[in-house]
Amino acid sequence: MSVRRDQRLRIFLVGTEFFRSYGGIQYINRLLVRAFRELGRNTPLDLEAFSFIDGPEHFPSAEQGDCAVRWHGAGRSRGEIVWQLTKRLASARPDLVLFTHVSLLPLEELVRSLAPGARVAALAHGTEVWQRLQGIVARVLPRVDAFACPSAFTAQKLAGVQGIHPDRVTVIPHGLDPDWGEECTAGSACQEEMPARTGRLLLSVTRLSRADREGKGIELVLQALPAVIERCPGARYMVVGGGGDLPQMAELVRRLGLEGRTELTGARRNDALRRAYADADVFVLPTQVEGFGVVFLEAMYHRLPVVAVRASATPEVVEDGVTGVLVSPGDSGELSAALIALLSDGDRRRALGEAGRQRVDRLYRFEHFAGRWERWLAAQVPEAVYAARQSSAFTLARAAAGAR
Amino acid sequence: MCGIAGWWEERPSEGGRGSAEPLAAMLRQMVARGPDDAGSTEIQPRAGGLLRLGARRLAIQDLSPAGHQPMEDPDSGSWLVFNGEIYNFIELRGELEGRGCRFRSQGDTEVLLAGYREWGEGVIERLRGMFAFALWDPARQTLLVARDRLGVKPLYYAAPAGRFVFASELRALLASGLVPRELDVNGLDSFLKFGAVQEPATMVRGVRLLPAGCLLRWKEGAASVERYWDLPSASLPLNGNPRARAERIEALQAELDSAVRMRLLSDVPLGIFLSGGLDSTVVAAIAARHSTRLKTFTVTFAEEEFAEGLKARQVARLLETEHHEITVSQGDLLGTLPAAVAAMDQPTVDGINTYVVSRVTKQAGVTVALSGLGGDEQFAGYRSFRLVPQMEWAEQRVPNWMRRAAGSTISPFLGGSSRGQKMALWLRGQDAFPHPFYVSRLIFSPAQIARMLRPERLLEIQFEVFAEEFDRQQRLIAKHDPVNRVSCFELLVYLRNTLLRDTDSMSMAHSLEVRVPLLDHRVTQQALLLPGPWKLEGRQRKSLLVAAAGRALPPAILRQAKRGFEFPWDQWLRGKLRSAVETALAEPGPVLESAIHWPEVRSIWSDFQAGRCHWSRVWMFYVLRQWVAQNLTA
Repeated sequence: MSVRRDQRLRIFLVGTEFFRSYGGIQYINRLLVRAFRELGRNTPLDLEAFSFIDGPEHFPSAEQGDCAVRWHGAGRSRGEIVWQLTKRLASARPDLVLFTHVSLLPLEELVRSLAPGARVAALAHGTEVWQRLQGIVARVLPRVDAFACPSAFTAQKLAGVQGIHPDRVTVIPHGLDPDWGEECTAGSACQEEMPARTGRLLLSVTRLSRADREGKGIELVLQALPAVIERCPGARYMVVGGGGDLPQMAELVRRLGLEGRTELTGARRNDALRRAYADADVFVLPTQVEGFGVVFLEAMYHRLPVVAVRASATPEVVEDGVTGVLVSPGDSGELSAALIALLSDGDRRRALGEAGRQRVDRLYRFEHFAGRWERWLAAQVPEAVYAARQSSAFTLARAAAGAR
Repeated sequence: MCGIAGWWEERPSEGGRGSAEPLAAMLRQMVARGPDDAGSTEIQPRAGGLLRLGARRLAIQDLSPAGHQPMEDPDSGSWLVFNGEIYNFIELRGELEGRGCRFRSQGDTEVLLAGYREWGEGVIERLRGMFAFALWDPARQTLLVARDRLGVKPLYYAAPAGRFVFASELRALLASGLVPRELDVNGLDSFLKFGAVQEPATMVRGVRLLPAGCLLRWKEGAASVERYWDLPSASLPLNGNPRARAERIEALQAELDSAVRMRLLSDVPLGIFLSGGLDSTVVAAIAARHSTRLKTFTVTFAEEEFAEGLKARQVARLLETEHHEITVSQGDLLGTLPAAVAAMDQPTVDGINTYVVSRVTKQAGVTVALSGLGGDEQFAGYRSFRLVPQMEWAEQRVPNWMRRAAGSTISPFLGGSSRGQKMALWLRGQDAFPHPFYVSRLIFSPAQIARMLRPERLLEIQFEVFAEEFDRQQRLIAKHDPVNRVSCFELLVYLRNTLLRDTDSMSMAHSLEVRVPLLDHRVTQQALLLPGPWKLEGRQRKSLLVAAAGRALPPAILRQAKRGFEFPWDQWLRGKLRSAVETALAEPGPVLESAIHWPEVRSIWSDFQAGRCHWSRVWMFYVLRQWVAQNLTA
């Protein structure tokens, strides 16, 4: 009997950062790895991830399962990661190389020369492609075989601003981390230290960085807060998030006289973050520069109505009047009116919140995210996906027959 | 010969009586399979629900009403619907009469029923013939469904919620309204690979073809499938017996002789397809030993270049048969094509030849015809018998990297022919199959299919369905020599899923029963017990089969190379058929659009027009499109 080598789908992920810090891009990079690992249950997969910022100390310990990830870190220098990538491209012959940030596209030529059969793709998160790109990245963009991005808004920017043909762009909305599932409900352990929902707590979750100060809209909420407090006595505002701009934000709170009503908690993760969602009554983030807004998913998962602005990708995630309220960008009057209306109407809060939860359960759970990426892979490298799945089936059948 | 159907419903509607329409619709669909009689019955199992059985009969043995189906055994209360012929029914009847059984009819259906009463499921192993039947056993409250060993007669089934339904034709199941008209991507995938759907998959979601050599028990709402027969797993060793060779060949010839003789029994006019090829010539020669009134039929073409009548006439003169030569023109053939495509129970790249031959033979006045099908598969008639063992040898002895390097180097020189493309595919190790035989039968490669399918449909393919069958095939053939391995593969893959399927659907479309004596299971067993190399010895092709003729055959027959009976498809698709095919391929319809990137198909059409691909690839999509339009589109 002939011996045929099993065929596996070989994917290289080349990313800026996966673990060292906690931001939107890092979250998506990690989620992507988990999604590919999940796909490995049906499609035998060799997954290698290259990170320009993480070091070996940041990577998870050796993992079991059908798709164990082979991590490559920056180590002492970024030149080292480029060297590792070079070595692996030449020997592993990936079917697909996915750059998880367009800033890494200068490496495209290296990939093409060492793995000429590989399909090259890039993930566009959002703002980084909304303005015309320059330099090497701009020259490489037309050569990239495929793009994935989380919103139709970003897809339009890729086409209209960067000149990428729409056929090469796939919209793959983000999803919730599968570990998010533990809900902080009344009676659960995480609720023990928490007061019950008061009907008066507004919540924002965002990174507080100088670069994002105007875009994320926290200042706008603070400007709108006095009017809210006047109409809804007892209203409070919690901002969860760390970053270099935290002191400046605290100063702004003090200048506006909102210290007694506003809490800047700093960064929170895991249970502490879930407690904040569970305690809040309305989620507000009038961000004008949102490539998708995973925080909206988190809020909707916790049945919070979302107040945001009608700008960038937000309307694709938050349905105005269904799962939340969208106001005009930069309009503190409209914002305060929306917040007052919600804080004054518990039934409407609950209806919007429930609709948001259903929307998340229908479209944005991890399995939806993984499924979309699976379909995308099947579209990008169908031959490799087909061969791996067929080969795996033969192997399993042989093993099952042997066991009998 | 018949069309059979039935269904069991857990909760009959309409006041517990259920609706008679699904069964009636199934039987209406199969009128051509059984124009002579029809019947149905209702049974109420003790466990509840309602079981309906029905049959349409093409009367071959015992033309009286005594052969009516469904047939009840008055002693046991069993009910039977049966499609096929039991060629040793006279012998079995004698045995049963010796055990005290009495018979009302002269046919084989009653013998099967009585045999079940006497031997239970063991009756199946005593049967020699082609069959698919369903038998309700009231004592065991079980519906037993079985199919013959080689897969001559089909039996499709489905188990939609709260029901079990079966029929001789897939289209009958669709006509019942009990099965959703949804495309099964597994069937589509195997059709694109091999030009015919590989059992047990079908083109329709939820419907299965009961594998050959298997029986299914339906009891209390659950089905279980069990294999009762398979091909021999190895040839017999010679054990140093100097007479072994002669004895084995004599045994084979004896089985061939009895297989043909048994199949000459008929109460309706019978003839033999005589193509002028070796296989049908041998069948005719053997038949001539047992009958002096043989009728032989040859279909020839008016156009000289395709006329093969001369060789057949030589054989007919030699055997002194009543020979009928029917000439058809290209115009006749082209006019027949829409009906031939419509007669496909599942899409197939082949079958048109059989449709035409069946039509003209039936019009000439016969209802039963013997065919030489099975000779190439069992007596090493195909090129694959030399090529595949060489590929096996290379896989076992040449490192993968060396083969891939050779593939990359010589691929540009292999040309654009389908054979060259397959060889390049195999050399580069891109086929993802566990054995090179499958590559030799591929039409589209896995990579081509992967690019054609829409991603979500690609992800729906349940490769494990095929993998289990392929693995079973490989374990079965593991101990055979390389030549017999190919024989097994050809029997299990190409013959079973393409040739026999086509023969059934195309002949039954004309109410013609085709018998295949070379595929008598005892012939097959004997053939596979012979060492494979014997089948390639000497200069005479299929020498072991030729020897069974028992007489000298015309040199022109003996010396001819293997040739397929093929219409001028390439010419027609560029000429007279071009418009029809182009129009069809321009509008695939929503079902196929949801499954296939149709621009890929248009690209194949362009490649064909430019001479870059074989006609069969285009024809496949044409029949697929027509089949889907006729059967899956509301």
